[in-house]
Amino acid sequence: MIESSLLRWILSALFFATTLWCARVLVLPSVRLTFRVDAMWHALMGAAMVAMIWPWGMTLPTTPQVVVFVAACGWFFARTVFRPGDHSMPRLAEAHHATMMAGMAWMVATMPSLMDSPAPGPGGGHHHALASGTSTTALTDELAAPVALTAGHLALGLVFVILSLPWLARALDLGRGSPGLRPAAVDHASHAAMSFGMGVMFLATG
Amino acid sequence: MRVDDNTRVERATGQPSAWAVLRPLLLRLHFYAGVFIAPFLVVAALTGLLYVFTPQLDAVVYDDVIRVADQPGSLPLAEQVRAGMAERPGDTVLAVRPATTGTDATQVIFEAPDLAPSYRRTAFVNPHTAEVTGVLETYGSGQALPIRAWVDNLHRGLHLGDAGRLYSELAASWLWVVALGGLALWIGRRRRTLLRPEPGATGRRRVLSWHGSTGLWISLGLVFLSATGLTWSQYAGDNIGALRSALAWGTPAVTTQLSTPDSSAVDAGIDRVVDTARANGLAGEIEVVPPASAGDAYVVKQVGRTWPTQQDSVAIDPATAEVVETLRFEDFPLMAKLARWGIDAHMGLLFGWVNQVILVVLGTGLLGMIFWGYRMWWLRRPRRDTTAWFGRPPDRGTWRRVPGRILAPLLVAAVFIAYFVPLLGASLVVFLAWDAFLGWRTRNRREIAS
Repeated sequence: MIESSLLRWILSALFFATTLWCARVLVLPSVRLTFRVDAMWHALMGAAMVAMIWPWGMTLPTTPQVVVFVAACGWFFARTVFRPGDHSMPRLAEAHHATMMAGMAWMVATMPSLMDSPAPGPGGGHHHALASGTSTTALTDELAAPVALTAGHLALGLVFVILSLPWLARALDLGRGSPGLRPAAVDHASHAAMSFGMGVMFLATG
Repeated sequence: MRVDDNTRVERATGQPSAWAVLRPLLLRLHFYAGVFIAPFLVVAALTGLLYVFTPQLDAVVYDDVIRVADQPGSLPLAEQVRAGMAERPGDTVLAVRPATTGTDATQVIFEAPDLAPSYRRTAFVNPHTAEVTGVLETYGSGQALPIRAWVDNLHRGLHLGDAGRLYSELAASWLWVVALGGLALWIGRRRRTLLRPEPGATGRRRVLSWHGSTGLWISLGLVFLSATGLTWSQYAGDNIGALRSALAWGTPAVTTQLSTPDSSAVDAGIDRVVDTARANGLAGEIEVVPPASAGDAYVVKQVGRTWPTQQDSVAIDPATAEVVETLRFEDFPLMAKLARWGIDAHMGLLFGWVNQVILVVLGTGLLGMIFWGYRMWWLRRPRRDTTAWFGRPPDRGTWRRVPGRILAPLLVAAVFIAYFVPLLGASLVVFLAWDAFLGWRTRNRREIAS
């Protein structure tokens, strides 16, 4: 869940737009089945992201979501390794999709722990803790898991923001090319937005 | 890299260098930001220059209130506080600042709910005679006297409340962009006279050489003023505060609540509390905050703003006058120390008159650069077209020539900065919309003409 209402709306708009773009592929005529499956996973991811941004999304069951995104990760991993007769997407792009789905499963799984954990107060709180006689060992144990999770989220956030750059760069180059390349540019921009949005989600919840 | 160098790189690789494609984009951003933000910067620079001299103004205007004739020996602090309280019966004492030297008045600070937020009412008491020399409205943790408080609010928000604060936030948000962008543009030219105005140059070139070389000298100072100014701002300031809090970079404080309060104990008195604090190394200017309720401690903290920074504090048990917690400035997180130094330097307090001189140089340098900037725009106006009042802005649409691999990280960085510094982001969107409108209008005119 995102605390800032401005960020909530910005991310919701971003993921809603990318979900619509991916869902559009599902209904387009003459699209290969593998592409439809790719688009389905992406649309599911976008929808789950929108839900996760809002407080009501925290009430959705976690396990089914994790299962879905682990399956999606497996699908894209298989596409990366086996590439059954389809070389329209670079191998690295498929690997990026697999990483995104793994990241999604991780975020869904860890979000409840982060939301339940006590946030450290301003100034680190160490002076207050010592003065009030709280056991520092107990405090350290209690905070160890959230600190590790927080560090993980921040690291993943940076990774996904950086991973959005090649997609965005390509989208910009294609978008400024011939008009026939515009749909491909939007497709790349959509992947860039999803990776960037996921990175921001990790950073904001870290 | 000079234009010749760029051409050489272009010929060798078949592609223009990154700087060659970025420079026009940066130039247009620098132009737009300069033209539209400069009025806000002028106001900030003028009011800031006025603020620099407020310590001297205060000292002259309120000399009979804050200064007393030196005499051997002082009355007990408790007696001085009682005299101050007698001047404001019914008011709640917030803190006491004992006289540091024989010529200072003791300050008894009261809550002032009838005044604007951050304002307090302070009774100044002669420590030798317990005579009240005056009662003034004081402002902020720095106990600014009325003149400084008035100028402070003028610099911060033109006395227009939260709406007025938008002007200073807009100025601070863009100042670092304009300063660093201008620095890159100036160094990117690689002229022989980088550090000083070009000798023998005339017209626009001469003005540019003054604008650029002055900017080179003061740009880092301007970035510093921008960064520290943003910490006071409404929106970016909130984000900076949240970031500092999240990263445990906040300013620590001693705990006021006692772990084992003795509600039946008699208060040891403010004089013993001050003696204990002094014995624990709290020299110089201090502030004593009495316990807010039973079970709370006295807090004594150093409030000096000059170098070397003295910001130690102790919590003292009112029953025993013993220290229960000590917080030394040297134990502050580095970012908390930097924030303290940054704020004090921005206010011209950290290094005394040297600090004031540096701020005057930065303020007048900024005003000069803005004047030369507008002058260049005027000199570039078309001479034959009498309907054109000013020069054309640098070419639009140059972003189309910037490769995606360069533009993408810039866009992502811009998005993060725009979110973190919201007024910068909002005004950037307005600039882009205006730019798009100009492009649309030009295309329309061409189509109609053809």
